[in-house]
Amino acid sequence: MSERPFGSTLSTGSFLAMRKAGFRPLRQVQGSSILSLGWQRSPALALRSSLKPKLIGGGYGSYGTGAQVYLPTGSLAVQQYLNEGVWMELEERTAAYNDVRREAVTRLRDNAREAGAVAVVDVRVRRGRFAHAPHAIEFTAIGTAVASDGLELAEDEAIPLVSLSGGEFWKLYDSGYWPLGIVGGSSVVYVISGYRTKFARLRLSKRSLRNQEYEDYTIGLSEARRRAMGRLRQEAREVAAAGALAIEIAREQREQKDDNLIVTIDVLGNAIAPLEQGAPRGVAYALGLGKA
Amino acid sequence: MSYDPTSVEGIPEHGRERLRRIRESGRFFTSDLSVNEFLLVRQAGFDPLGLVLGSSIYHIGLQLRRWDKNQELDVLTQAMYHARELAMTRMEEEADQLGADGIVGVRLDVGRHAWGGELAEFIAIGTAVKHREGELHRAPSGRPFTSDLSGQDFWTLLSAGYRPVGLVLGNCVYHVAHQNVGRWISRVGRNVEMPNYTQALYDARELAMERMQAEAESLEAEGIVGVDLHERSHGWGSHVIEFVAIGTAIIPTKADHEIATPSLVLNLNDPPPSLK
Repeated sequence: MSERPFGSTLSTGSFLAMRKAGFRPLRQVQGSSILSLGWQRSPALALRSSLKPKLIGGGYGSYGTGAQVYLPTGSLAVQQYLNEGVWMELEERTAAYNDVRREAVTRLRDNAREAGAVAVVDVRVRRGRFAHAPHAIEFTAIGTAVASDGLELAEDEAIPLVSLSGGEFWKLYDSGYWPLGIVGGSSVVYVISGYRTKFARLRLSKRSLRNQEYEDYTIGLSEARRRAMGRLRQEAREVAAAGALAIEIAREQREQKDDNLIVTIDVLGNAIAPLEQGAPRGVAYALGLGKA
Repeated sequence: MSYDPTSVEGIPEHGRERLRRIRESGRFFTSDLSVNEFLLVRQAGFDPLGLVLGSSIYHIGLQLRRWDKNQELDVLTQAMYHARELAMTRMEEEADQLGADGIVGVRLDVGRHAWGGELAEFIAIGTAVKHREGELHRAPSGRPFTSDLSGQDFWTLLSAGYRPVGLVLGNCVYHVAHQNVGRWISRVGRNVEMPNYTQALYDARELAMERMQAEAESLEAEGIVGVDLHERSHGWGSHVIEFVAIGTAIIPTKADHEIATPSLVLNLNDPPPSLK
């Protein structure tokens, strides 16, 4: 054999399953991007100053006696914001997380195309920050490029990247599905806490004695998740996927001053589409003979 | 507690919009099922509809306790139960909006954060599924069924003539009494059982399981499978422990529960991630 030896992270079983499906591993390919986060103005400053309550009568320290009257610059909505809190998406941060992922995935695709691959399997993703560069975020994807004996991709067809193992790839292919690639979405949401939350978090305040839900945090978190999932769906729709499998949700919450919260949500999944051929196989019970 | 299957109370406005879009667009689904689970859920005659989740960030109130007394900490127990229930109900409402029969692969996570001792985050997440032939598989109460079984277990259970009706849960937060000096001296240097410790853990475990059992009874289930009984200390110190019992309540769909004789195979699967 004159070819170079292949390199792969595939296990023995996965390797054999891939061979069975007519794929052979080529080499490890990677795509990586490191992006420096730009400066983001704290939205709390802008919002708070425009919502600042004005004092009529009463004096300092008269909280709770009814002497202090809020004169909202807006209307009921302003008071509602102050009491219940408000959330907003940090566009710059969100864009950074989405860009870094797209960039890395594109590079992985380019790298795989150079290697002559029809698919990349076993893609492992590393996301995060560095201790030495706290304002940089990283997205690195490393996978095994595989070539096919029979199958060829069209010139403009995107190479499927999947975080699935070789065995899973085969099972999917055999059952009539073709993976389209990694799809993802990110969202960074800033939650400005309301007074309800502030009082509940104040040690030994009357409000803090009883069990209750932090509604502003809960809503902020679920909105961040909704937005990230929405972007994943959008990406999947662009490649005309039928569904997205094995979705992973990574989240990070950091507290800011004044009980405010920054929520970062990252979702990643594998988009799949049905093929014409292939049908589900029968399933039988079996007792494994492998090691426990 | 009465449950209105059409209620969307806990779901934020935009969440409703997302679910409506999923329902209207029809085909596209999202799911955190693995490939194996996905294929088996399809084999069982179900289609995944979407990833559904509910969450609640919860403030835990003030709990008073006696230093030297074994007791259940009811404020903490209620907080941990109520917040889980909020998250679960929201997840169920999302599934309901999708017109699902139920939710498989439910995971309940409790997150506690360094920045808030009295604050806990509860998340319920799973994949909403619907029967392809339109057979209704909901729980007797009209709720979508919930189950923490994997896709594999779900398939096996259905083909053996059972179906899940609901995730049942019981919990108990317990304070284990500190022992006083007199007792400590009387035992020093000897092998003896410490009855107050034994009793405390026994009690707490029993309470959690009993509550889970009661939930299953209210679902008119035949039994509970896959019970996971675990204890966690959520940063409340060494003497406060939460016991949680979670399982899936099932009811029979046919009289016999025979399965085909298993054959022997050598598995080519990848080792589970923990062995890698």
